Amino acid sequence: MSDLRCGYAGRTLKVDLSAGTTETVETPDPTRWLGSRGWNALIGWDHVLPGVGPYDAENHLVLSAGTLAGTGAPTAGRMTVSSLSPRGYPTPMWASATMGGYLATELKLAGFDTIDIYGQANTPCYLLIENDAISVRDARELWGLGVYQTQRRLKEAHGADCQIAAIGPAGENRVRFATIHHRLSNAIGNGGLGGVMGSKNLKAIVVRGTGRVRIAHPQRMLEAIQFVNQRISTGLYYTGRPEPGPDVRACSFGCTARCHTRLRRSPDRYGLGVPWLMTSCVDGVWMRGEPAPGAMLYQGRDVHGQELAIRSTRGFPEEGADLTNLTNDLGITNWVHHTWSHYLGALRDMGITEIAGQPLDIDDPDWWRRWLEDIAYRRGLGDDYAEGLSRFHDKHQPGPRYLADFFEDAGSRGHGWHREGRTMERHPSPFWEHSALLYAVSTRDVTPSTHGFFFLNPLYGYPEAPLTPEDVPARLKQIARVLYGSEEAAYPGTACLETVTMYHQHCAILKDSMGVCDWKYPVVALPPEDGSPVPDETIGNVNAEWLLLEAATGLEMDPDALRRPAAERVLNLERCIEIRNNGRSRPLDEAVIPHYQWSDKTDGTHLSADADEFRDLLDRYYALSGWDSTLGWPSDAKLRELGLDSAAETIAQLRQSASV
Amino acid sequence: MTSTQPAHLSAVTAAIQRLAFSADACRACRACEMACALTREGAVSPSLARIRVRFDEFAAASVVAASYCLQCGDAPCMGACPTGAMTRHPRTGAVMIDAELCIGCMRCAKACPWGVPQRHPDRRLAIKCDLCSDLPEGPACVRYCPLAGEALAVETLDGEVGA
Repeated sequence: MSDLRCGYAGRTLKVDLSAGTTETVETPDPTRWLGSRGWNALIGWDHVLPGVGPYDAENHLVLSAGTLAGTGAPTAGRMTVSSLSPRGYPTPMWASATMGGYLATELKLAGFDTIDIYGQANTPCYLLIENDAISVRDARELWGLGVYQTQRRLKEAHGADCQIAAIGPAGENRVRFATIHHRLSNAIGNGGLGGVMGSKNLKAIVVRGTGRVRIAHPQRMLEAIQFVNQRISTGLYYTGRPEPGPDVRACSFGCTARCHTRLRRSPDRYGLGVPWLMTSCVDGVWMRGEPAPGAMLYQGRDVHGQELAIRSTRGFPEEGADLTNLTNDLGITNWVHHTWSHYLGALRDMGITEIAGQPLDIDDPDWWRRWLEDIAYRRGLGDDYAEGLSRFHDKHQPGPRYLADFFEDAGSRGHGWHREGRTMERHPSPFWEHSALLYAVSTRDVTPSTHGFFFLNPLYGYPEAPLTPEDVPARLKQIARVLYGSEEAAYPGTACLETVTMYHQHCAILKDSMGVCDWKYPVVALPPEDGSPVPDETIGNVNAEWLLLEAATGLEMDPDALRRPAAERVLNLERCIEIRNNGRSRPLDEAVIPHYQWSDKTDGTHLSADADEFRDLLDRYYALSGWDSTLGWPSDAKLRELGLDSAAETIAQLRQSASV
Repeated sequence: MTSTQPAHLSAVTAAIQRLAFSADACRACRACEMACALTREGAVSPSLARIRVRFDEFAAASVVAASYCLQCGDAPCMGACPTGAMTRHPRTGAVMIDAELCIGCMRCAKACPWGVPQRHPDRRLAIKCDLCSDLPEGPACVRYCPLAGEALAVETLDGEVGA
């Protein structure tokens, strides 16, 4: 049956590293589970049981190609990796992360949608997939190498055309923010899933596929690709045709969109043997910052038009490129510089010049080099840094109690270090409230899959950020009406914000599952800047994924059903994993509140001291979701409506135990 | 055309066309590969594509390179074909392979200085770029290239670039 599938491969590879065995099973139906993120959640629910820790053999590391990966769909070269994440705070959490590159497509060409890895190898190994030939190989000679050298060695052994995901020393040593790395700078950077791979003694996954991705309706697919290409080139962000240039490269197979990825020469001071550096918004953090001319700082101005000069990262224009490559090579996410530079910089500004006897020489790039290596190898204080910022702060308590307080004193608002995502979002209302709600109900830095609403933010124009509904630009009101059903969604405050947040959560799951880029989907075109009226239907085609999915797979689906109930089903199942395995409930959702509060502020830029307005927003979000307001758990009716009967029974038992 | 042109060009009524690729401008998204395979074969696979782009980010130089038929004026592939399966398209001058006549001997690939013709993964015949000469809208790879005209275009053998 599986060889008749179109769009997706129809096969899932199960790899038991303890037993050294593999098995192929059928991939679940995309009309019910959409694709990668849904498939991963289903495995998480079925196989990652309560009591399992992120580094236990019983934890599963699940890698799935997007349903549209390798179909020719614009930007569709992405894969989703999910597992019980060691980076979750205060407990491990089920988390998913995505990356571009060529691996997802190669996996499809090898005939698989998903690799479900569990167990623990006795000695370091790598997984080799050459179409149907699957083997687990000895990787003792690769253990300890960086991700670049590992990839080069494996390409020498298995051919230049194979695609590789590998961990560096950080993953081997279970650093909580270790990556799974692919090519120069594609990475599963969020969730610390590199440590999960390391705990399984799995150094790398090598894939070579020479098959094909069948397309149900080739001509319709070509037309859909052309249509979506035209629309994404006039979309919300980075509009226009890609810029040609010797340094402009796509980060991902099939990415036809304009972006700011750049390939630049690396001086290679650290002898990594890599002549290039691929930069994007994340990879540039080591280079940008106050000392760097033309540094790109995080935006902007507050609602009163005042410049919000953020505490800049310590950028290193000369050494930054090499520090970026070193971070990659060690298998650490480049976001660490953005978060830790702010944290350590704030401490130093408070007069704290050392922690546990180690001086904070954060203006010295060589200090950062040693810092990275100490983390990757868990040497000295690096062992504590490797636990992640929240746990480090809990242990050393070098400054204010709440991490968020480091930034409140700088006049910002944002989600601080919540689940160790980015440091802050300097958005006017209602964007920061949306951010707060997203973070409340998520398990990681959620922004990478939910840029959509934030991309509307620049339409305000920061200096003229509206204080009243009358000030909201007409074009923004029109987009709000088309996407969210009400202009009020663009007003300052929290009106309709539960609808906005849920819409973008569903969009994120759909995008992740399809394997398309968050920066381009949903496809929304800009109304004219002068505010002149245009028909709502010209704002964009928010069903672009559906057009592509139907042409590629031949599966008949209602376009609206991709978000509800399909994406909603995945969201609820992920919530149920968290409830069952990690005791997720409303009190943990409300843990974001201190990060958004500033009791002295009464001008709408922060939550009030009692945070009543946020709790009310959370109530409305729960109600819209079909979740109860006490625990924030999906109701029995909602789970059964979504066809999640097994989850309904489990949650019912847990409710009984909790006597709720 | 001149009186000294090779006999196999006698049916060509226009200047020979071919793809023009710029490694500097190419983003390596490989949309060209996918559009080619989808258009010619109804499926996506590099092994079915008549143009291939390689992006080797670990290389010291030539990070991006493409492999495709240059539609050579002297076309050694045509001379090597034992069945006469290779002919010039009268409008574009592209070297076409007649699937009915091709026996998949791959002598064309051996004769090609760059080994461009590939064996079809399923059928016993050679495949190579024919500029989608049967399509009035032109080569699919160029139409779907996000940087058409800069990264990928159609040119004539004398170097004149057309959209």
